Amino acid sequence: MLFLLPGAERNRKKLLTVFAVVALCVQACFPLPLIDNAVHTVFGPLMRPITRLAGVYSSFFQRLPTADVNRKQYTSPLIAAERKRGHPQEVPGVVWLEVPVLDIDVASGRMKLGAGDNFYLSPGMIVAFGKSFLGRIAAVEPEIAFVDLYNRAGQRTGLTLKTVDSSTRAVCFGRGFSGPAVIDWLEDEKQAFSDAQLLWRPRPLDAAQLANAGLHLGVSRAEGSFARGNHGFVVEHKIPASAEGRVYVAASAIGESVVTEPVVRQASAQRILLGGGVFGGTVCAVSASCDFRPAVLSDHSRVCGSIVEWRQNWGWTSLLTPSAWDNKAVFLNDGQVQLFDPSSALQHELYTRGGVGVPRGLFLGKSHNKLFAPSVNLDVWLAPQSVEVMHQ
Amino acid sequence: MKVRISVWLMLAVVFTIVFPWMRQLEYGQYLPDVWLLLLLIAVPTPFPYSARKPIILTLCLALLRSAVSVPSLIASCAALLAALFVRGQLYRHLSDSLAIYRFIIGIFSALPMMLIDMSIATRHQLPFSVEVIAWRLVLVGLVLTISHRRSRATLFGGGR
Repeated sequence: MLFLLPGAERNRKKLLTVFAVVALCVQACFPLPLIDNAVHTVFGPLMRPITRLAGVYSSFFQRLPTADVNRKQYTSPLIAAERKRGHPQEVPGVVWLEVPVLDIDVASGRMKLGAGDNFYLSPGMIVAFGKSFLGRIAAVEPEIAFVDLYNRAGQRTGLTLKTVDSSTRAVCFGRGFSGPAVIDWLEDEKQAFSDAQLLWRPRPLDAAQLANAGLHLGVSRAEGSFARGNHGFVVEHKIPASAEGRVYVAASAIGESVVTEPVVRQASAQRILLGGGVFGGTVCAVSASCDFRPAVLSDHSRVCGSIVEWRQNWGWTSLLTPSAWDNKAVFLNDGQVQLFDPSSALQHELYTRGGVGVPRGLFLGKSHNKLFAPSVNLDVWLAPQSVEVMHQ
Repeated sequence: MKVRISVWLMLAVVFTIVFPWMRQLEYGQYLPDVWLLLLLIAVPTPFPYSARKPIILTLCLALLRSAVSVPSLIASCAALLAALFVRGQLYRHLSDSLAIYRFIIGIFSALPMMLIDMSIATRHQLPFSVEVIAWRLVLVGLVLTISHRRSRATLFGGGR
């Protein structure tokens, strides 16, 4: 077309404007990280001096907390407690390998471990935590492994039903999302009772000594009714909250080490602006010369908040009170790890639960603690293996 | 009064440095978005025929806004451009000679920004209450009711 009429030209401009505004709005509300990263690579260096200037100006009016000079190396009591409680009973000829957990989906019966071929894991190895049997390794990749928990659909696990004066062999069958694992074979049905203790039973190709490890699978529970003809027993077994941190894999041959530590990356960071122009005092800008996108910000081993936006070497943190971590926090109760319930009136010392890039076991503070302003010298953390959430 | 674009930009830089502190004052969270106000005051109605300078001003304000806040550069651009667009469309249907119409136009112009900020706040689990949004909208409307610039031959003064 050689020319456009003024009206047509105006409509063309209007259409293009609408398209541009809508495209920007869509990117703003449902961002593609690729585009945001590209934009911040170009404009990030321009923005940072402005943020610093605003930070310097704001700091004239903000009181900084007193910095702790004697900084010690971070050690988590949560991890120490998990190790103490989680190691299964020693049995001759079997070594328990300690492997970090990256993700767990109890409903579907799948668990992702932070070690694989590199730690000599192989399919079929059994996975346990303390006295709890969890499942078997199903697939192994170079640096990760997947575990089929006992309740994974189609997973068959040998059991012994034990009451005070009787016992019988059985097999339970996982149903995944459909419900708890069902006991679908009983050697002697007359010996089956509700509330019977369920002991794990090794397969013929497992190390025979594992039978002496005393691994449990909870208790049996009656389901359905005789009258309708759908009477049966299901497995009532709860996976301990501590097992979200590390589990133990039975091995009869081992490599150089029996412990794999989760990969945690840490870098020192500096506060550049406390409070933002839109969300006020609940956010804080920090800078860190690190080559990863951190997930969490801490001030002298205490977590201040989670990183919500990262622009090459600086970004924004959402400052959170310990109780605001909600179900992403755990606490120690008499040595046992428990999920935090914000409705509980009791006060606990909270730790990060881990996952989605956040390292497990970082100290959050006491549950009643208020929001605290981070000091100037900070740390940023990332557990890179757990960034990708497991999809079924 | 014609004001050069560089004056608006200098004003924006000063506000950008000061505003994060102002936001943290006791009632600071209720303050309207300063970059949005600057843009809506700087770009008069009706929208000038040449959109070059308003768009340059929008990009600069978005850059400054995203430098001191969580919303990304694209989110800030989207919010500011959407505000201009909505105001331009409403202006065609509602005369700005009456204060009440200017108030309504101001509120609706600020609405896209609030929706985008709300979406970002929800995504990052940041506190951003409806009360705060309502106050910001009303204050943007009030400021635009008081300050009213009409288009002249040249938008920002000086040469093209």
